[in-house]
Parts: sequence; C-alpha cells; structure tokens
Amino acid sequence: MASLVIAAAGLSAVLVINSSAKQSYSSEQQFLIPNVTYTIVSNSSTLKLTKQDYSALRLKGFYQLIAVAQIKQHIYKNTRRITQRRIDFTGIDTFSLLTLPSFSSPTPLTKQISPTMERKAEMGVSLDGSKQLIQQLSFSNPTAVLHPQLLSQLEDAKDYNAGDTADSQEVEVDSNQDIKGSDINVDSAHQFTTQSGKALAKLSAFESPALGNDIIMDIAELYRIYPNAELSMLLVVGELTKSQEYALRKLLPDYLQLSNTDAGQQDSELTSSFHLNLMAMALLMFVVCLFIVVNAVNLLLNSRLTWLKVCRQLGISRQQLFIVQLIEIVFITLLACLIGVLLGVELAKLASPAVQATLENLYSVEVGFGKVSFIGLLMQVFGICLVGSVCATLIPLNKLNHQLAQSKDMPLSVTQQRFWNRTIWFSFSIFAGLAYVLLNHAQALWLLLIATAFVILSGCCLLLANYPSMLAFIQRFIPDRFPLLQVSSKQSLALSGKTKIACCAFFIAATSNIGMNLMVDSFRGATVGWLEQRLAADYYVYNQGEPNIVELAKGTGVIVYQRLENYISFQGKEIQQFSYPADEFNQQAMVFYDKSENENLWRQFKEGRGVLVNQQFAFGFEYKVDDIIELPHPSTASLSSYKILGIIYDFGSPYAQVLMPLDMFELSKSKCCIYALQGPESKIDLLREKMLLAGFDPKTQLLKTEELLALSMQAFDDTFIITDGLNIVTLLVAALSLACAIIVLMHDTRPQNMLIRSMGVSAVKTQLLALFQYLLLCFVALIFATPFGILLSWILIVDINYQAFSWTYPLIISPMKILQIYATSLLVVATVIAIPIFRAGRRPLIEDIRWVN
Amino acid sequence: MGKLIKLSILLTVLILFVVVMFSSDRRYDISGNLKGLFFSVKNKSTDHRDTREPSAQNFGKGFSTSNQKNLGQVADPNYVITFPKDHYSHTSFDIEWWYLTANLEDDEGNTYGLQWTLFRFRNPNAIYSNEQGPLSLRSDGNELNPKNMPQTAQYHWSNEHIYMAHASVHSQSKHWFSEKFARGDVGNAGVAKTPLKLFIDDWHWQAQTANLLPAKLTFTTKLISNHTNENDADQNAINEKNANLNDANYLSVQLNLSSTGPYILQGQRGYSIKSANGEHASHYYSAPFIEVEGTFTMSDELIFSNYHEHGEPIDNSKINENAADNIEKNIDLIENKKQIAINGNAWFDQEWTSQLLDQATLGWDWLSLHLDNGDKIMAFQMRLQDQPDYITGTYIDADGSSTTLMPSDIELNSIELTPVGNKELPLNWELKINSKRININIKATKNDQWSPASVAYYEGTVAVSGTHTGKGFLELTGY
Repeated sequence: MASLVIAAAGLSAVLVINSSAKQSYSSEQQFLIPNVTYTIVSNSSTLKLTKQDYSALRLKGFYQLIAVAQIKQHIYKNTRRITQRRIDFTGIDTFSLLTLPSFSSPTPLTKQISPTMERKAEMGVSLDGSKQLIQQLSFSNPTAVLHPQLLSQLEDAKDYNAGDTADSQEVEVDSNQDIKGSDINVDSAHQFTTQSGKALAKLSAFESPALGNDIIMDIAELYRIYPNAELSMLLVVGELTKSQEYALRKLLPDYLQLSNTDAGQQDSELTSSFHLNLMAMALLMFVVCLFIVVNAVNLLLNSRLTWLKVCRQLGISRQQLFIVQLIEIVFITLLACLIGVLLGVELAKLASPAVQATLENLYSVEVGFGKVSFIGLLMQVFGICLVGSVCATLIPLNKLNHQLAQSKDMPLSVTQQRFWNRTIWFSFSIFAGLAYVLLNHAQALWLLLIATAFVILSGCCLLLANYPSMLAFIQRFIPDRFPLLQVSSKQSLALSGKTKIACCAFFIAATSNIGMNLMVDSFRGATVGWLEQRLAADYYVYNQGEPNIVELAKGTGVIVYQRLENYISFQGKEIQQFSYPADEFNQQAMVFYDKSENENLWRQFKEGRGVLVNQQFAFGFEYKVDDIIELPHPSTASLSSYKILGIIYDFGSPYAQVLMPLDMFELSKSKCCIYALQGPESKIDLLREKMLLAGFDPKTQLLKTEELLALSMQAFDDTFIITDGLNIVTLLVAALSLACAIIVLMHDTRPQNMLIRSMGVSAVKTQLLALFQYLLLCFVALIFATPFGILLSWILIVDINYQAFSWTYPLIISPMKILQIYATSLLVVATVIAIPIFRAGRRPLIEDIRWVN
Repeated sequence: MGKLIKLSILLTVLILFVVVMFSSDRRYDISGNLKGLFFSVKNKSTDHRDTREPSAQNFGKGFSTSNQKNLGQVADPNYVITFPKDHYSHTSFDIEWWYLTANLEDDEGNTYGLQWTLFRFRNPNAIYSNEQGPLSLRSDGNELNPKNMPQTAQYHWSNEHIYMAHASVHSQSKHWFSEKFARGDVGNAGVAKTPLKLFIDDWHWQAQTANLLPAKLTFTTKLISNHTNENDADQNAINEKNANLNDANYLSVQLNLSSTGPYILQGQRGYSIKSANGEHASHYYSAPFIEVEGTFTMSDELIFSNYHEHGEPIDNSKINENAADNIEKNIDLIENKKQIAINGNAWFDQEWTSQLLDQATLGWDWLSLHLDNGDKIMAFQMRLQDQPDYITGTYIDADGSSTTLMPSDIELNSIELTPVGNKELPLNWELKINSKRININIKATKNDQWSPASVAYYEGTVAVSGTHTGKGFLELTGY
C-alpha cells in the first residue's frame, strides 16, 4: 500500500510539474494575448525601444502591434518585502488590443443575436461584451491580473510577515513620496505596495497556464507604479502577409529587430527533454515500486497460504479465490492512488518554486502554475497504477496457483532450469540488440529513452543469468577458516534464485544511480574546468545599458574586455553573434571541443577570415571544423563567408553562437552586457568607487571571478537537486523491495537458521550472517550495475544530451564517485533490510524448532 | 466481506470529499487570453449594476463620470468661437468630436454613405503619470519626433484623454466598418496644429494649413457585411479580376475635401442648447458645404503608408507630412485591387461639451440634409429621462446664411419603427419647418446602417422627398 502511494504520488507530482511547465512554454511570450506571431525588440545596448517607435509604427498602419513593458520587482506590505523572488510586472497596451480582430469583431445588426440569446451566451463576441469593454476603458478601477496560486502565495506571505518575522526585510520609504495610487479603489485585503510605497492596483486572480511568477496590468498602470519600467517589446498579433512582413522589416530602424515567435517553440523543444527526463525518472520510480508490490503481494499471500488452503478444502474454487484477491488489490490501488495523488499534488506545489527556478535559469523561459484537473489526474494515475499492480499481482498469484496445486514446493527441474536460462539469455540478446540498433540509428529523443530502458533491461537479464556463477565465483575467495561465511554465501546463492525480482529492482536503481551520478559528475567537472578556463579575468561586470563600463574604466588602469552581442538569423533560426577578444590572454582562456589543425587559427580569427562556433551551432546546423559558412558582418550586416576555425564548449546555453573578433563589432550597433576586467585590486577599487558614483551597485554588479564561479556552481548544484532527490527515493524504494522479499524469504531460511543457531552460533552472529547474505547479493548487483551505469551515463551524455541540447561533454569516470555510490547504496540497503532481519533474530530459537517440526 | 463493505464506504466518503473540495474551488477559467480576462473582470464589476434599467435607456450613463466634482468645463453661452483655434482640441471639456458624413456617388451612379469620426473623451478618474499636462498643449507638427521629445515623456503612457475613431462606408450591399482606440500621450492619436491634423494610427485628416479645409482624408476600413445580389455579381463578373474582389476585405479611402461655403455656428453663436431646462448644452459648429472627390480602393490586403522607404530610421515628422501621398504611391504597388472614383457632398461637425452625456440622457436623433436646391438642414432631437424631447435645428440657405430653429419652429416626428435585427429603429421621419415651407419625408436608403462599435449607434444615408428633395444622414443613438 505504502509503495503504491509512493508510486502514485511520484507519478502525479511529475505529471503536475510536467503539465504546468508544458502549458507555460506553449504560451511563452504571449502575456495572455493569443496569436502572437512576431516580436519587435531592440538589439542595441544604447538605443532602446521607445514609445515613439511604437506610435510611429502604428501611424504607418501597423496596428497589430501591442506594446509590452516589463520590470522585475519585489512586492511590499507595510514597508516589508513579502516576496522571495522578484515578480515580473508586465504592462500591456490594452487599448491597442481592443480593436484587434481576435478581441472584437463588429457584427452587423441583422446578424447579431437577440438580447435573450446574448444574455445566455456566456462568452460570445457580443455587443454586450463590447459595451462592457468601453466601461473598462475608463480604468477608474485598475486591475492587475495574476495566477490564483501566486495571489494565495502573496496572501500567505503577507499573513506570515504580519507576524513580524525575523527574516522579513525592513525597507525605508520616503515619507514625502507622493502616493498617487492612494485614490485607487484598493481592496483592503490586497494592500500590496511597491518599494516606494505606491499601492498596487486591485489584484484579480485569473486562471491561466500562461501566468507564472508575473502580474499583468495595463501599461499605464505599470508606468504609474514603476515610472522607470522599460518598453521591452512590441508584439505582432495575427499573421502578417509576406508583403506586410517585408514592409515592417524595411521600416524598422537598425536597432529594432523583428523576430518570429518560433523562438518560444525552440524553448519548448529544448524543455521537452527535461519533461522526458523527469517522466523517465518517475516511471523508473513507478516500476521499482511495482517490484515492491510484487513482493508485498507475495508476502500477503504467503501469510494467507494456510487459510487459502483451508478455503480450497472447503470447496471454494481457485478462480474465486484469485478474483477476491484481485478485487482487494483494485481497492487498495484506488485508495493508494487517492492518497498518492493528493500527496503528489502537494509535492508538486512544494517542488514548483525549485522546478520553476531551474527551468527559468536553464532555459530563460517563464514558467506558469498550470492547471491540472484532479479527477483527470486521478484517472490517469489510477489507470497506470491499476495496470501495474494487477500485472504485479499476477506473478505471485501464479506462484500461489502452483502452491495450491502442490502440497510441497518443488524445485525447478533441470529442463525447466535450462529453459529458464535460455529465455534469460535470449531476452538479453533481444534487449541488447534493440538497444544497439536504436542508439545507433534513432534520432528522436523518446526512442533514445526507450533504448536506455532496453539497456537497463538487458542488464537485468545479464544479472539474472550470471547471478549464480558470480556468487559461486565470490564464494571461492572466502577462506575455509570462515565456515559460517561460506555457509552464508552458499545461502546467498540459494536466495538469489528466489529474490530475482527484488534484486532486479535494486539493479535498476543502482544502474540509474550510477548513470545519473556519473553524468552529473562529468557535467560538473566539465563545467568547472570550462568556467575556470573561460573566466580568466579578475572581475566581471554585468550591466545592461548606460553608462558603458569602458568609459567608466578610463583612467583607472583597469583593462576592460567587453562582450558585444548581436542576435542574427541564420538558416531561419535566431543565433547569437558574440565578440571575443583574440589577445594572448583570451586565447589561453578558450576551451575547444574540436579545432582546426591550422596553426594560424588565431591569426585567421583576428583577421576576420574565420569564426569560432559553439557545439550548439555545429551540432544544430551540422557543421564541422573547416566548413565555410555565410554570416552577416556584425556592424555592416553585409554577408560574407567565414571558415569555422573551432568548435567550443558552451555549457547550458540553449542558443547557437558564433564568436567573431571584437574589432568587427560597433558599440552603436550591438548590445553589451558583460565586461571582463583585469587589473590589480587597487585599480579595481578605483573603478568600484567610480561605479558607485555613476549609480551602479558594485556589490551585485561587480563580481570577483571566484565569486562568480561559486555562484555558477551553486546554480549548477541547485539545478540537479531534483535528480539527486529522485535518485535517493529510487534507491530507498529498491531497498524496501528487497526488505519485503527478505520477510518472505525468512520463512524459507528458518530451517537453516535454526540449525546454525542449534549449533551454538549466537543470534547476533546469525543476524549479521543474514545481513551479509543480502549485502552480498546487493554487492553483486552493484558490480553488474557498474558497467551498465557507465554505459547509461555515456548514452545520456553522448546521445540524449546531444539530441536534446546539441552539446556534449567528456565522460569522466571517477572511481571514487563509484565507490561512494557503492557505499551509499549498501548503507541504504543495510539500514532498510536490517529491520526485518533483526526482528527475525529476536525470535526465540525454540519457536523455529517448533515451526520446523 | 464485512471488511470489503467498510472499505467501499470509506472510499465513497473519500471520493465525495475530494469532489466537493475541488468543485468548490471556482475560478475564472474562461480562456487563456485577455479577452476572457476582460470579460471576467467586467462581469465581476458589472454584477452589482442596477439591472432594472435596460441598457438602451441610459446611453449617457456609460460616459458620465460618477464624481460630479470631476466634471469638465461647462459650455459658456458667451464664448466666441474663432478659427482656426476652435478646430483644435478643447481638452478641458469631457467630450469632443470631429465628425464627417458624406453622401457619395461613383461614375456608374452607385451611391455610398461615408462616416469618419474622431472622438476624444476626458476621463478625470484615469490614472496617468503625466506631469506636463495634456497632449494637445504640446501638439505640434513635430510632436512625434523622438529627437524633439522631452526625455521624461518616454515614461508617460497615458494622460486623461482617450481617443476613439469610427470609419464606416455603406454601399447598397456592403458595409465596411472599423473602430480604433488610443490613449493620449502615446503619440499615435491626437490633434496637431499647423498644418491641422486629426489622426489615430494611420487614419489621417491632413489639412494643408492651420484651417480645417482643404484637407485630405485617408483611412482604411474592413468589410463586415456583404449582401451582394446576383445581379451585382453578374455586373462585377464582367471584369474577372475585379470579381475576385467582390469580397475584398479592405477598403482604402482617399478623399480630397474642399469647402464651398462658410462654417455655420449652431444654436446661439455656436452655443447649442439641448434640453428645455438648459442643463444640456454644447459648443457646436458645422461645415455643411464640403465638396468631395476621391478614390475607393478595394483590396485583399492592408495598405501601409510607407511601403517604399527602405531601412531608414523612423522619422515621424517626415512620414506624417507625406502619409497621404505615400498611401497613393503604395496603392500602385498592390496588384489585385479595384479602384473607384467617387464624388459628392459632405457635412462636418465639431462639438465639445461636458453636459451632454449624463445619467438623464437617453439618446438623440440627428439629421443633416443636403437639399437639391442647395439649402441645408440640421435637425436634432434630444431624448431625456423624465423630460419632454427637445427638438432644435438650423436652416442654412444655399448662400450660407443660417436660421436657428427653436422647438417652436420645427416639427420632427417618427412615422414608423422598422425592425432591424433585434431592434426597432425609427428609420422614417417627417420634418416640418413652417417658416421655410418645408414638409418633407426622410427615409433611410438602407435599413441596416447600424455601426456595431463598442458604443453602437445608427449612422446612415437618407433620401428626402416631399416639398423638397435631397439626401443626407440620419444618426440615432440610445436604441
């Protein structure tokens, strides 16, 4: 029951997280506005998108444009900050929305529905709706919209903070501040303010998967509370014809760029791998849970065996007995699913901030709360669990069938044994063959994940086929001086035949554990190495906009390398065009995945004859080193041919990127956000002072390389917390499965234990021996799991990561890490299985003697 | 079995609990877009409305400010209207409109009714961050040029003015209609001086000087209904290319407007009283002598005003000056189009007030008539709650001299109500002005000339018969 609850909870939590994330990507960048086809943004750091650009474009007839302004800020209540993460405040020019065809379409009077029909139509594009809209135009009662969950979070935070907590942050408010919002009709329950004390408009909950950690309002309201908000983009609503698109592109000044909203689609594709990974982990957990169900049902039936035999003697048919058992399982599954789904939904809520932060950091996308129908979720989870648990019950029932048919347990005949062995080897070759074919030929991510499952299943078969010989092999190394150990290892051999399923569960958990850990470890190692080499400067400054740090650093003696960036279209996709300084210092800092044999690589780069591309670019567009590509010049935009001089690592970035020499860029045409600084501490201090005077916050904007590295690695580790958690859960579940099997097997080993104890071996020793037997089984499973874990890790890095993200990194096999996993796994197993073993150990010897007799 | 029954009961209770818990969690789940959002927000805010009053009975209520102390400037009987100053915005008044109606005809004798209106509403309750005053104070030809824009103005996204515009063209079988909204201080709508320009997005009334006329009017509107009968289709089929445009989505209008007579100050020197107790009044003048010639272009795609400019930074001042010319040039670039030359008479009104649309205003009926003898008539009937209807008018001789008609001078009666869609509208009127020996019948030339705007009303062409013949426009609000 508990395992089914865990399985259902895990499954439903993942389903909820997945669905909320998926819904968010599908509506990325739309801010509740349907049918957004293009966006217009500024690609310059000096020239920003302005209200004048917007009005000028509208004056030319592009009235499908909608201005969007954004700012990230905290929310305050009674001068106390109540938000942990900054909220995305988004302002939309609602006036431009009003006459868009998707919002209102005028209908001639003769085609309008009657007033009674009108009242009945809840959501039709009716005259009544338009009348209501004109009233909304007055905005005398401005409303801001947010997701119900965010609203309840704010409410909770408000109540929590009302209790004067220690971690709440005191904020000074200028008492002379003109609070313009004071005349606004604000619901007393929602008196949230900005840092400067301006009251937020009435918050209205609106259920939409597009809403995440953001609050959407009219653009004028946004500028009222945040006069410094920046116009972030213009949305183009509705399809543009080719000539319209052409006209729009031609009309845009150089600093404005029209992009297709397919970028959201790209993010969506990228994140699908995250969903698959999460789903795969959940299914893995689910499958391992089913192993427990098999063992638990086995245990249940074993304890009822006597009664079932009595029932048979009373004339109740085997079929009737099985049906009753199955009905019981169905009810237990339903109950487990109900509890599991409730737990799962809560778990998803708990996990959602972590998952949201992970996704937002990894893929730079907004994540919403999503909406999941409880009944739908329950049906889904119940369906899966029912099929799983019924299948899992059939195995013990089949065994029961044999037990009821026979008066004694009969060991497998030699023929049966041979058949069993052949079947296992045959299964192994089938699974291994399928995995090989899929891994070599499949392109789709889901096929690769299936291939991964086949690899693990083939590992299971290999383990089952070789368990006895492996145990026999180990046994040879136990010296004759330890007869008890020898007996114990012999018993392990016997046990291995009976704990196949539990051992397989442990094997799967161990394999995935090793695979995931090695992958994360390799990724971590590669990232650290890459960051350490790439972050070669002493300090880094992140600043969007004015004033330019280069200007500020003049006279301080600090050397500033600026990274200028453009976003250009390459083969229909948006790519990054970054500058890279080609001096000796930065040449050393570059980390190549592959580079041209040409000795003059850097000279060619400096002369603008060649470029460096990241893995995402090379793998995504299928280019190799020395290939020729056509790219626009960063400042003149004229197309020229460039040779790919090298492919570089660029971990974690979803964008394809091209690096070009700094002198090809012009500050007026490109954005600059990141500056690398080099200089002694005293000179940096000088710059720090200048930055302070210029209104910067050097504490947050000027970062020492070590701090940046630590921050990056912290973000990295946070990202993989979920994976770690799932790993431990899987391991625990596998250990539980083993513990269930042990309880059943305790019956089988009672005669042997009784005999050993009769010979004068103490109870503690017997218990330790039993523990040794099971740990030996686990150890063997771990030995088998190791190569499969490494293989899994390799598949994850080379195949799945390549397909999902278009970048790979070298696999680092760290023996210490593997040993660490061995130790953790054995410790977890030992802790869990120790409980039934020691419980059995406390039984008086006489009971066992009586039982055998 | 007992255990099974207990388990079943437990499960049933659990399921019931879950169902009740989740069904009580009602949220606004209409659709994931703003449309749904607005509807839900509005539905919420209008839940408490007084539902006893049908919406047709309180036309002015939707516009009226709830706070009387915020009422805009009151019309002054002593105010002297002067031009060109009074062509511009009167921003201290709550409501103002620049209203053009035209009876047009093409070379084949097909008739068209055209309306183009720019409305300005002052909303004293509106939130705005403007500390520099309303838009019109800074309105000049260069207002939209970023270089000339004060830096702080970047951050203002609204002032207390809202602009709305309607464009409507009727042929006998088709109706093109579009509506636009804009807020003050964004730069895409307003009234600019020297040369005078009324604009909202790409709809422009571009005068040549600071005066209202002569001017070019350009706008594009969208087809919303098409009742082309078979005969019309046959006629169109003569030109196969044009036949494809029978359902052309867009109508681009370019009109040259020129004046052949004086401006007429309505009421008492432009102070127009609208109710018996004098509480409803406005400043109101008309330009009834406007000659129109121009082109209708029907096409399947929108025409932009600046097709031929390539990659140059936006220079608003230049573009705005040349917008009308550019549209003409760009129309040439559109392949699949049908162009019709049109001409006719137009009537222009400008009116500004803060005392027209209040809780008592039920609506009004307005007529502007071009008689075949060259005379013009304006007749206006105000319908007020708990007050008798108030009828006024102006008789304008062909030479431009005018006579204000007081309620005792004029009789205006609706002869019958015509069912149109779900409404019954007075589309047939009788007008008597005994002092001018006028006894005429006025009838709508097409029944469905309803403008399905956010604030919907009737605006359509009429034919005049009786002692005099002619044509004109009928406006019905509050129905």
